[in-house]
Amino acid sequence: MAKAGFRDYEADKVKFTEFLQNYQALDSDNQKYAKYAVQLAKLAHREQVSLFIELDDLDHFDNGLADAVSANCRRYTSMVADIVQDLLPNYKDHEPENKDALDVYIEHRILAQQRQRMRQADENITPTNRYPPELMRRFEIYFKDLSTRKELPIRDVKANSIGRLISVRGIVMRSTEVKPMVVVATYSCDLCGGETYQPVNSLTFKPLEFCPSSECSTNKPGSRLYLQTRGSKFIKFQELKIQELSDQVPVGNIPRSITVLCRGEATRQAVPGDHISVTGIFLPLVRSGFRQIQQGLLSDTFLEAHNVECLNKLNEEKLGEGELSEEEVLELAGDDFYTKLAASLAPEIYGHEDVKKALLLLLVGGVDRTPDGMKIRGSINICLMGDPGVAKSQLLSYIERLARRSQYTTGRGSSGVGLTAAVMKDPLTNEMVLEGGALVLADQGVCCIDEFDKMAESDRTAIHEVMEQQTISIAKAGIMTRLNARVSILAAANPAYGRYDPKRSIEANIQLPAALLSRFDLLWLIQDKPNRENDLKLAQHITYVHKHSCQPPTEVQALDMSLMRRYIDLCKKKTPTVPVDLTEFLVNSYVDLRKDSRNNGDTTFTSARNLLAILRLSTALAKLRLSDLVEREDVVEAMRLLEMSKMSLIPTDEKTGRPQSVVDRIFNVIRELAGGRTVVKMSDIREYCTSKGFNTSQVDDCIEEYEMLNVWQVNQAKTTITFI
Amino acid sequence: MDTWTADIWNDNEEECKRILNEPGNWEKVPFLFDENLALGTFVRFKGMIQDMLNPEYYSSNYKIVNSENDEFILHQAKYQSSTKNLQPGEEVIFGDTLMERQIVACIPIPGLNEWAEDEANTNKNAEVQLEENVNKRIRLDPVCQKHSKEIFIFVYPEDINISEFKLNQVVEVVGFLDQRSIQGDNGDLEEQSSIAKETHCIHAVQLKQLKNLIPVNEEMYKSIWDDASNIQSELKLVLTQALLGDSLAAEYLLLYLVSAIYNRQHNLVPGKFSLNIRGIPNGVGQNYTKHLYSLISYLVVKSEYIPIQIHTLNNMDLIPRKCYTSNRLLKGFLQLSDRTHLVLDETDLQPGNLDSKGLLNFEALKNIISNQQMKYDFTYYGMDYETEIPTLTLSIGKSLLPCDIDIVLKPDPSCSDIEETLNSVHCYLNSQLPLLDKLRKYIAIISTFPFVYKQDILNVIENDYVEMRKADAKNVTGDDLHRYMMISKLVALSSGKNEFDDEVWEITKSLENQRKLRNN
Repeated sequence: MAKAGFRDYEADKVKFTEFLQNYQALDSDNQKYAKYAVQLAKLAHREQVSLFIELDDLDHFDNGLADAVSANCRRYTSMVADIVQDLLPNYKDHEPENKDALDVYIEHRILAQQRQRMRQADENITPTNRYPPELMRRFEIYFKDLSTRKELPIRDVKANSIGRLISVRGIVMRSTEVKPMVVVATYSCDLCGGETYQPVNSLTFKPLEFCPSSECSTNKPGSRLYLQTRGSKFIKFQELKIQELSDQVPVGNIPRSITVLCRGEATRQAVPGDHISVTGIFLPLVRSGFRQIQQGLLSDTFLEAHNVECLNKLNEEKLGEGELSEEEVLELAGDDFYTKLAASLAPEIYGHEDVKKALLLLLVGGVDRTPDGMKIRGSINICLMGDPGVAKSQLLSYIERLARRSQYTTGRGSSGVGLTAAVMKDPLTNEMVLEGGALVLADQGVCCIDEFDKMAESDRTAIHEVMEQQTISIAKAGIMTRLNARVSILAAANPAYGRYDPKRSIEANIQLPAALLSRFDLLWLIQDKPNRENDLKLAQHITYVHKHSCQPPTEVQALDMSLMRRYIDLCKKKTPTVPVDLTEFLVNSYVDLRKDSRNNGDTTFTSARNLLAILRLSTALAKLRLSDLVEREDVVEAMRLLEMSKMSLIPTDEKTGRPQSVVDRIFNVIRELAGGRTVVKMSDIREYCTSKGFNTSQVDDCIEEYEMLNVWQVNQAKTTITFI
Repeated sequence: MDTWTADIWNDNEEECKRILNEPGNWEKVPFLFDENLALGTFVRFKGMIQDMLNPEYYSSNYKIVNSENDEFILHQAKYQSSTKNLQPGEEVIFGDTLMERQIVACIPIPGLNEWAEDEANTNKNAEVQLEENVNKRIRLDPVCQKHSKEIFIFVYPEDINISEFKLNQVVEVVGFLDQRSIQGDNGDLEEQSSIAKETHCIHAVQLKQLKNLIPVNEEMYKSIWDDASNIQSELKLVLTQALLGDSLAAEYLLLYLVSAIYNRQHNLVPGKFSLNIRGIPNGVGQNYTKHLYSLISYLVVKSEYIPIQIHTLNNMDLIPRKCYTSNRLLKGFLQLSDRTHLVLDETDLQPGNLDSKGLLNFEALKNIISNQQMKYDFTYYGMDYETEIPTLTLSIGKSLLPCDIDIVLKPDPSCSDIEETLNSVHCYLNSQLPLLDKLRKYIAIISTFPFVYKQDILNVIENDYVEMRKADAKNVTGDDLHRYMMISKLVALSSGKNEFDDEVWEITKSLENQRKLRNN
């Protein structure tokens, strides 16, 4: 603080007076108004307590001054307080109402002062007997940091920040009760009856013992001072401890913490567990007396809060890393940006391009619609199924890391709260409190649920509601409520029989009811099948990793996670609509889809939910293009993804890799029945095929077709077939 | 150097640094606890970084003013935490400039085996002295039984860039000894007085990361490398004996002992080698596994043993967690430095219920085995820390825990008396001290030698992989190829080859085929 001694504080004082009285800002209607003068008037009438001086405004007014303030903030705070106090009487046009006892006291004191002045105009008043300015003050001065100034990680608050106005962000670990702290202690003397005042600046103070009035000090009659609580000025005081957020901590380090002292209006802004952003002055803690000697060369530090802002929920955008810059937009732009973005998801997992594209759409999400009070969700739910060891969990954990709000949990849920919510007893207050589970915590985000199939029965019923209505209803322990759970669910499920059995239906494979499965927009079966080309690529990938100890340079360079995040944020702001001329196309595609599914008798189900899924996926695609309109291509791509996800579920012939027709499947069944024999009875075939779920006409078709192909011969009576 | 003090260092920093860094001088600095050292002397200390505290601010200088003649002497406060003793009539005036220093809590290296302690010449006095101080805490916290006493190191950012150091690294520090109470928290006064005990501190002058705890010089490196294949066969012999005559399991155990992570990408950790030896003969389980562990601990530098039982899982504090009352990270059993071999003994596991803590502990073990990562508990959030803890699971049937490689033990029927067999291994090793020494060094360093892959052999491997997929797609995945690559690297290095060739590849394939045959 001493280093700033070169500044001309008197000049600064003049500037500040000028600034406060005359600074003009634009209001929402672009009208000029005296921003601070208006507030001064409010302060004068006790309608406002805290005055925030924005350094942005000050910078605009005189940029040297703003820097000086931010470098030596405490001094300017008290300077501005003095100026404001001097100015206030000018802004008072009527007497404010007295709000509390202190106001009455102040009024009386002012009256007494005037009377006293009249009586002993020429006499000097002893300094302790004069009213300290802090005593008469009912307003608080705070500074707001420049909006261009970045918030520091707690780690970067160092010795050179001492005395400066800084902003940090963290999570509240502990907070004390709000307690009154004495600012000016008032004593009255039992002998002369005079009042004495003692301004307190540190956390501790030594009470005065002797009355300093001229009467008592000269006569030394052994008078005593008594502390007058009602006449003293107290201020609200709270101590917070905040700790770095996990993403600010470098790998392999322990999060650091900092003490924040809040006074007055800055108190009661946060409770433990909140994410907050604090603007304040970083100061060493002044100790006096014995404790100063005890601490020796060391000094504790704290942050004197000017502004505490809670970043939960409402200020979601503030948690973001800011807007995209020009060059970053350029980096993203390009025809293949969709592929590029998808490929950047979990780059360490090889292949699965379509799954990654689907996950990208899940992150972006569709648009919520509420026609006539009916709620149609916009969030996209995806279920990944597949044999163990096909990187399902890795995909999930990557999405969890990438998404801004996300929860990762397993179906079994290791905590007592589980997926939905639980009513718990608070150990301190014995109150019943509602504690949100993973789905509630991930509200407006992504909830990744691994081992979805192993979910508890109670959670399973709740998840039905979450997946369509996006709420959770609780009726437990006398608490009836409905919590928001606007989440996209990304589930991973293992097949019931260790491996996915393509011959069975999905419900049988995953052991989940159809009602639940149909709520997923996309069901994806990740299977790994041998394929020379892919296998070789994978092998080259792996050998490269081992040889060079790094990822091979892919055709598309993986994008940085924070860049992805910011781009997705940008996409989320869009709300594209479906143009009228596209609806027919949509409807037709849906009708085709229904027709196909009827004809093929496939194992998945096509319902009206699929139409909504197509809508959601195409809206998400439009959002991804940062467009306000859904286009035909979006619908086509959405249909393609849906088709691909269905394809992944349909059993394919291992050798050709193409989907089997009913006829082919029946042929396989017959061949299986035949075993090594060349002659098979027709009645056996009929019986066996019926048990496999094929009807007689299909069997007849098959037999006819393969007879044409000369695979077998049917005898005249149509009772046996002979393989050739 | 014996007479160096903080003041001398402050005045002649350049000169002192030069002397310290002359070859041989570093080693001459006495170890803390080796002798009874006075406060303020120049000492050396080895330990693992257990916690990093908030930085501390101190006045960089102070004046001692003689009130009689108003003369003053200016003192530097760096490398010190208290002022000089005052004479009557003198007064201290603290300087205005505040400087910061980081505080790092170090503990004696967890899991360090006895023999390695002697080698690394950290004296046992340390233990004894620490033990005394620790007694009280042990009763409170049964987990931190072995080492819970810490030394605080003050790191001055202008000398040392602390961001280069990470949690759980083993470091060696030289600096000035001090004794002081560290207040983790400036909250409650009463609380402080109970927690704040005077502890040893070192004001660091230099800090370096220790990659290897056993001193190995160039010459030794070369001799180990040249002799690698002989040492390998000796070690194989010893391990075969220990595994009751099973030479295939011995091969894998050898690879496990020498393995080291050589790369790390997100969830992919090439080089991670977690082994499960199952089919430990029933009935003799407990005793046998303990003997086997004692042999392993006789060979590797750092190791730990956890019996996997319902009781231990439910009661042990495996996961480090942040305590906000003391503002410290409480050490969990699994807070271990790199390459601490962890043996998990599942042979005595009985059916029972795991409570929530047991479940978390179990998840933590699983996370280490499959991702080499661990989530420390910070109450409001968890933070992932990378680990390098090779695990060996001993079980009777298939293990509960995941593993990279599992192998069924096939004891030789001729090994009837297990106790005797293992005792004879010990005796053999103790009778051949030079061999034992070589074996230990071999295990410690063999995987650090440089290694080259040749493109032509890689092509062969790629094609082999495609063929394998063709033959049996269900059971061959990318993970298998990762495993093959890792095993081949270890096979090559352990036999003293720094190149990947056909022979190595064939050995690897035959090892894996034999293992698969046996496991089926």
